[in-house]
Amino acid sequence: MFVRAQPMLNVVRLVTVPSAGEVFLCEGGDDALWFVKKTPNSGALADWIGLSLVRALGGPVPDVAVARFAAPDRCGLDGRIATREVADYTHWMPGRWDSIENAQELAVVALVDALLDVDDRHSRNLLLQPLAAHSFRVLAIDFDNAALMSPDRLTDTFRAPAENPWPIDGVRKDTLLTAMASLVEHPGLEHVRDIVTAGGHHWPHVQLEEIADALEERCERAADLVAAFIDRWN
Amino acid sequence: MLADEILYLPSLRTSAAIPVAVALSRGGVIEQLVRAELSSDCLPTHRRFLVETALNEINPGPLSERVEMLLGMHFVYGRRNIRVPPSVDPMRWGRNFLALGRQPLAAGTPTTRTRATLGWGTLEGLGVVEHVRKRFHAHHIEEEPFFRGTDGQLWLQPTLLTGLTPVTHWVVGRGALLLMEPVLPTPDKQRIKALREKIGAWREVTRREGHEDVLATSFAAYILEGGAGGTDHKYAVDAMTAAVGEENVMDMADKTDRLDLRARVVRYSGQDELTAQA
Repeated sequence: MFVRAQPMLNVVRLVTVPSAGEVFLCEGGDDALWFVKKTPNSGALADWIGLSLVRALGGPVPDVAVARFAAPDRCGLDGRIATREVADYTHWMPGRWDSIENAQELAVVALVDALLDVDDRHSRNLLLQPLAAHSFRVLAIDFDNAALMSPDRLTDTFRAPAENPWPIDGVRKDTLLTAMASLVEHPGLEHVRDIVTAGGHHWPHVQLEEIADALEERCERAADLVAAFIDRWN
Repeated sequence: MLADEILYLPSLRTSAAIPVAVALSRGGVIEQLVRAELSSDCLPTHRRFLVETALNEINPGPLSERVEMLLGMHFVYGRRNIRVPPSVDPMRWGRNFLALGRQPLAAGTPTTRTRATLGWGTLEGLGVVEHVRKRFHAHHIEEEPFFRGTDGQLWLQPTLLTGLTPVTHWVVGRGALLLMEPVLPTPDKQRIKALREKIGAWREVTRREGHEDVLATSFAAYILEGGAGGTDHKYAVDAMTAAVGEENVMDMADKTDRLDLRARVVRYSGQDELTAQA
């Protein structure tokens, strides 16, 4: 498997300054709109790893890039993670499971959340994009607060998931858990070190090697992790 | 009973907003949601599906989160906490509100024009008021209720749906139009946000793609002296930069920017700088 080096986004214009939060809407040199999130280096790396790993496992995420500013960068966004705008999106809505075409792919997101210790998955970082025939496609964003990146967690490579590890209303647990169990042998998990390395050099002062070691070990024990996840979620 | 206007933003690039519902609430609890009737001429099918599905999420019940937090950036509140007169049927009032884009002003309602007046004073100081007109209305550019978007679909003019508020100052000449908005930095971010959205909506309306008979239009936001400073000033500048681009934001405390604004007014009026000085 080939892991692509991190693509760069040339930002030409700030479109929207947020009234709350730290997500800026920007126009890229490709004329598309991108969301750029102001995070510390560790958060940017976590976002890169999470989004890239989901993609490597065939899961649903937007395009991702590192923002570089051609225009004056007055908001401190240079080097932050950018995700391409999901057109016409709305946040996750409980009760829409049956109208989501790729609902089963959420199993990939749940697995990567478990691997990275992402514990703030909620309705606002699962996006629904309307398709032509009264249906939706779901995409996940926002892995930046992965607890695995904390130095004190790196030595603890197997942590039991939280009591309610994936608190999203309206998901079909049985379907997701079955799909999660089938992912533990996915070949993409063997390349997690490549993913960390491909993006990591953008952000100094993060413990790249330690993070790669810890994540690699967690991927090797994905079956145990999923079993614990299933145990807690049922 | 209070009413909150819920807007749908088809494009995050422009912030053009279409009111899609009015939430009628009492004591922080939504009791009724009055929905706009969105025809296929107004929004493409998948967007109407999105709006209808999203509105189902907020009707009825307590409104514990902001609309944009609940539904995403394509949905925002417009005006909030509008008092519904107790003597009227709220549903009917809501439908009228959506149709008009505003509620009728009662006789004798005071209005303030501080920002417009300060802006006019600034233009007087620059010696260009003879070229500038006040209050640019939608009917200046468009009588037709529909325009064809770049997606090939027919869209209802946002002006008709939102009752788009006039641009404060404008200059026309030589087949080009300059729309200018004075901006007074203030700690009240909602005011600045409303200005940004207004300009965004005007940019959408005056888009020329697929609509070549629309006058070539430029925008200028000029930051007035005497407003709030510090982060509030910066917020206003950033918001206007997002709305019209950095090159079109002029700070009236800056001599170069004042000259720039003066030169633009003269240029758009059809005269060159030398003629104006003479």
